[in-house]
Amino acid sequence: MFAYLFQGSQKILTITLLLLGIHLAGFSQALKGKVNDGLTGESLVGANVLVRETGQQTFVELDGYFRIRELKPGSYTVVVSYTGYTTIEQPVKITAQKPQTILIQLTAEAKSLEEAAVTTDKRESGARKLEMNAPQLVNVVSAKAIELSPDIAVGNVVQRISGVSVQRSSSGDGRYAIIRGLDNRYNYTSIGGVILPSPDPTQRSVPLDMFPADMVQRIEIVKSLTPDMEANAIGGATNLVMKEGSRHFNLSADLSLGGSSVFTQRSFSETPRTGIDFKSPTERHGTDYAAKPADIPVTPMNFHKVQYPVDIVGGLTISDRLLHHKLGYTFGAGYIREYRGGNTLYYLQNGVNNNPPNSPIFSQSEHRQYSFLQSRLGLQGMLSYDLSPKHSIDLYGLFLQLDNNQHSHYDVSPFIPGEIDYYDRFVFDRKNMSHLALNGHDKFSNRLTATWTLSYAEAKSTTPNQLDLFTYKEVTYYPNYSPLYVDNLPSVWQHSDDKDLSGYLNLTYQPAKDLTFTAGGLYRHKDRNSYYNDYTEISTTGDANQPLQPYTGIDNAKFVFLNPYGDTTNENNYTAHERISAGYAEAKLILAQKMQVIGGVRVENTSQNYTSMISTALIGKTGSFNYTDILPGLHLKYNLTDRQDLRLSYFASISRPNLYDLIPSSNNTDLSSLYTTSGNYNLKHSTANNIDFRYDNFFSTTDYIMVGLFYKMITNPIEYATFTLDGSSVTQQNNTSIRYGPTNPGSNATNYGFELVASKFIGKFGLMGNYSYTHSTITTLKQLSGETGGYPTTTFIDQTRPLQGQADHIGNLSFLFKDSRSGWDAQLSFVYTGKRIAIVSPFYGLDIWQRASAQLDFSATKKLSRHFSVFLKATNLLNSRLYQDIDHANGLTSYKGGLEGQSNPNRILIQRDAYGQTVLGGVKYKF
Amino acid sequence: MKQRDLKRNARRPSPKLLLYAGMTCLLFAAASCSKSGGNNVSQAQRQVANAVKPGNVSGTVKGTFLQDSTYFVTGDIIVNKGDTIVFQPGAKIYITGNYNFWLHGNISSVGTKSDPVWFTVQNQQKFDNPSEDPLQDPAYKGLWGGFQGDSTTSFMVFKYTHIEFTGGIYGSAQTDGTVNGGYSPAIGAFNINGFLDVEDCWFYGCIDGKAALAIEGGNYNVMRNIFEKVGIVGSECVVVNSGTTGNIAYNLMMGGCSNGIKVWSKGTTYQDSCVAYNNTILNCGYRRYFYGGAGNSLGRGGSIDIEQNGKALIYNNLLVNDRVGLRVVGTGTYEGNALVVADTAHLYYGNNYNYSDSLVMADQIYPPGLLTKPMSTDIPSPSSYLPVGYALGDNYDGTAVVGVGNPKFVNYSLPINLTAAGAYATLDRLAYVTGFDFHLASGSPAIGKGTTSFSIAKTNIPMDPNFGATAVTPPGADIGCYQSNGTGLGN
Repeated sequence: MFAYLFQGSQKILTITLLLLGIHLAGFSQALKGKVNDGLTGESLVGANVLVRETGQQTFVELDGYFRIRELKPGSYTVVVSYTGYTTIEQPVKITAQKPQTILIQLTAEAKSLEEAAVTTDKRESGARKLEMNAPQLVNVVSAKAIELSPDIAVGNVVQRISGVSVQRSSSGDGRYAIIRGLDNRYNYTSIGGVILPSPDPTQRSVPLDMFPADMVQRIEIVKSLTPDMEANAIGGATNLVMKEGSRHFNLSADLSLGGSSVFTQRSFSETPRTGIDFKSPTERHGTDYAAKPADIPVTPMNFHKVQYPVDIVGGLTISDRLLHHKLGYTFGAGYIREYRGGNTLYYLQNGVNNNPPNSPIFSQSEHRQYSFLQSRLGLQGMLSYDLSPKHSIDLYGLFLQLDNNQHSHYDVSPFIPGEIDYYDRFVFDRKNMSHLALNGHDKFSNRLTATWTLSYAEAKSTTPNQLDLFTYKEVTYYPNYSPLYVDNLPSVWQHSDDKDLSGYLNLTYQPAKDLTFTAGGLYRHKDRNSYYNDYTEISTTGDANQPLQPYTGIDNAKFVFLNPYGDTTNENNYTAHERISAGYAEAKLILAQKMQVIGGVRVENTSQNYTSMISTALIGKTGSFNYTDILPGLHLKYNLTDRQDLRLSYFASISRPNLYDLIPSSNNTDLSSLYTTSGNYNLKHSTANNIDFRYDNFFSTTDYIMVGLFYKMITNPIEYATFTLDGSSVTQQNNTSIRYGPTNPGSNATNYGFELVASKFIGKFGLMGNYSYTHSTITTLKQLSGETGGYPTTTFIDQTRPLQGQADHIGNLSFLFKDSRSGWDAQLSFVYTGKRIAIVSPFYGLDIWQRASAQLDFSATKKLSRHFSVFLKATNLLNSRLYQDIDHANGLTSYKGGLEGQSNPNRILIQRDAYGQTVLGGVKYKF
Repeated sequence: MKQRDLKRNARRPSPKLLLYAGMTCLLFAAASCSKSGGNNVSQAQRQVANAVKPGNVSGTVKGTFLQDSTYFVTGDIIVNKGDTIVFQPGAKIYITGNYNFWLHGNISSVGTKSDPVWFTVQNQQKFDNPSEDPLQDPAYKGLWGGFQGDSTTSFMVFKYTHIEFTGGIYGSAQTDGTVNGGYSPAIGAFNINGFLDVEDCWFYGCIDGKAALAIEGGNYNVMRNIFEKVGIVGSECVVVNSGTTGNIAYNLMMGGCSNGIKVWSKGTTYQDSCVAYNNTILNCGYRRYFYGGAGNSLGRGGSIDIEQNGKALIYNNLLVNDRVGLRVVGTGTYEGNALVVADTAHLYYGNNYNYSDSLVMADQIYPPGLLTKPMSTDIPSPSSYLPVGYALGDNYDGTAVVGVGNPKFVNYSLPINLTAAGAYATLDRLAYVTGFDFHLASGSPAIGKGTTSFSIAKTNIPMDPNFGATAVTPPGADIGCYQSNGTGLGN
């Protein structure tokens, strides 16, 4: 009806006539029906509806209703069928008097509610169910939503969730979630509740772009932690629930091809992957070995151009249940091979001038071209076995591999004329995640149940044989240039390994229907090590009279070592361990069937140590840290009606520093940097008190609104700033004792905000969206270089700013279309991320901000038959670019002849990234 | 306060300073008198408290390395805070591997002209000829580290001491300001409350640290030293950074990789002032150019370089065939603020002498794009070749001064004509002094062209033969490190 209103809203008369028309024509009548899951009440969108007598067929639309027009009065049989449900036949009597609305309830074929949940939570409506019923505040994205979304990796999906924005990798893909303005330091990522180790050599965070999205059953962003959850999250926890099995044979597979628009304008630069050595010369021959040029393979520097490279994405999931449904298995595989590109304009800040104070100055502009070939492979499998109706175990295994083969090419134009520099980087970077978990469910009695998990997880990364080739041309007598000369060739070998062994146990005792006690614990042991070695080779011709070497290809270039023994003692080499022991007790009480109270306390003990390459003569070669946190939580949920509730939560949580952050190794060999950068053994873990309020109204399974408020007070936040290891004030110090790195600024950080999630469907059309306002403040010490009485002075003053990565406004809006009759599903999705700090500067007032950005993506699926569908996913339709600026009077506007992107007198462009559009089309098969 | 004094003094020396300068003159005169008189009075010998036994030495050490004894350093040497190591004349210290002297305490290495202290690598051959490939030269291999002062080091005194083949890569850095994997300077000073006194020493070979002398804190007196073969792809002979004040004078700097002297103030405690005078700086900036590769914008690597917030007085320096003349970094004619500006309000210079064998260098006496002001006292006179209407930072044609004003060294022929490749392509290798004599021959146009009407820096360095300065030579009337009156560089 609404659709009619839209079409004919010009004049009321028209509408009246229309309505009249329908009525008058009315020997026929309309039938409207709602199709639900009989158990959960969930709408079964897409269910097939057939009027047996007339052969008229339709589908349940997004709003949960089907509509059949023009049925003559009489008796009919409506047949409703839906995968996983028993088909139902319902008699209907149509009279001429008025249109009729009926309710049809289907029964799931699965036997238990739990299993029903398994089949339903793949769907978006199931996700709403979880959001409504979960004890925590959670936002859920279902497998169905992911399948229909424009995204193929988890890192891009999460930016569509309320309160979440992403930090992108250099290929432009979402890598880390920023939840409620708190960056990855303050969040964790888990799989089925088990926190994963990180392949990153310096951080805890798990890069979300490792996960092919179609291996995931659902993504949960948990924003209030109950005592049974690990407490190492202040922003929130990203929990991935991987695809699970079903009771019947199930097979789905998809294959698609695509490309990026970047490579319609230039070619992709591919590096041969052969010939690299995974071990550095030192690893191959020992630390006393003086490397020779032949020990550093350079074949990857033979770049070749690929025109119109084609992306391939494939996925496969098979599951079944055998042996009288006792043994279930699931196997899933995902493969993504994509060619990504970026074109970047960059201005390199060189420091500041004193007059006016802290005037940023720049030494060069860089045009960078990135070519990334990213291959993601994901394999997962699960075996589950019911030992008895009361005891079951399952074994889950996951293997992920993300290979990134990169060629970056920079054209560098220094502002002081004289030369043009070129820079070519080859990186092959491999990240792996292996995870094996044994889970058990034991029901000892109707009142006592237990679940337990034993988990092994290992995250590895290796970046072997990274090569950075520097070449340059001299401006001898402008505008003539010299030939291209070889400069130098640094190379890097880096690998890291992070292993977790963990055990979890939860016991649930339910003495009465309205009262549940849960208690449990966790023990996790982490081993982490990081290896780093680098070499520098410089150009040699072997002829001292002709020392400049024209570049005629990498295979002809000759080099000699500056440091033939490598650099295996630098700050990136370390080992660390961490033991987490935790226990909790929690009670859940339901009062008057209206009020759910969950209260409890969690105790977490953290024990950490590291061994670094720092000399024993200095403080901080090794360090160990031990602390215990007692973390209470209280979560209230009041059901106003069946579909409306109010929630109020309080919980305390923590954020542990990255182990690397604790190590005071200096890592500044670059003279031009002002400070020695280093870790900080005085760093304390952050603790936070979090308060959440949310009102939910699920008008229907497709129409809902959630409105929330949150407030967080973070004690000992961790920020990059100047500090001294001995804790003395950062003022007139020996230059060498001031360091720049992670530190706890003197004051707390606060973070509060508002979230709104809403969805409304009308017939075939739907509108879904969310909006978050976040406001955070943190105060840190920054440098101010100015003048006093004509002499330069440096002072350190406090600057209050938002947390890095926090945007005031973020939002999503999706326009959906679903026509089950024709088998079309389409969505147009808009993501908005407000202005936020991309990089915190050590200088007062010179933080680098990312401009507000908006991206428009599109996806569509067309069902061809019962088994086959085709789909199209297109991202960044508007070819949005990302910009980073310093908000400061722009001295570059007056540069002779003008500089690209520097026309605004009030802000200085630092970086502009263009990633182009991507498009992917393919076919999906479902058994 | 000191800075303000300096500014005023630059124009008119204060009576107090004159008195001070006069006293140092007297002191020096006394010293030279005893030499020229040929008397031979035995000096008061230092009494040895803790003798270090000759032979192999490594680990934590304090005490005295004995006169004319031989030592082999077989591991890092560590001097604890508050301790001092003393080297007596003629002590020979052979370093047998890539080791450093980590000085949390103090050092005094005082030789004599005839019996210097040696820190070197035993039997290491020197490749001092212009056909040798620098990339194969052991001088640029960093065979051992150097002397690394800490923020707790009160004094570092080196007199009549040879320090050779330094610059090794730190395996395990042990002081603030040094980093594992970094390149060591021959001497690094880091205590803003300490001092460094380097007189009449010889530095031969260093690779790619900040400088042979990296002065990043404290007062300094760097006088009458010879620097050869410093740096392969970067590095200066002497760099001074924030938190320092002192004088650099009468040094002979031969073939520094980037610059002879670099002054900047990149830190929180400002560099007070650097007075660089009467230095002879030859052939600097070429290895930076040939081997330092990219990031080599014209003008980087030359003679004396003043960068971010650097303030200095620069007079009477003899700059011969350096790739670039005095380099005052700043915006110049460039409008976009590319470089961090030197503290030009507190920068005074003049009476510097430039000689260039080729046009490439002559075009860079006043580096285009930068802030070096041509001074009327400069030699050759800028008005003789800069075009009418020349503005600061302009390009100009230096043809008129190519080969003009040969300073007439006693034994070093100009123009350079040692290989068929020509001067420009040889200068990266002409980085040694053996076989040459840079005294000014009679009739040199550099004689008598210096100024003595500027004040040198006041430092807190006590006058002491072993634990302070011996002679602070005042400004000389002849340009360069050798004075026709016999003062200046004497080793």
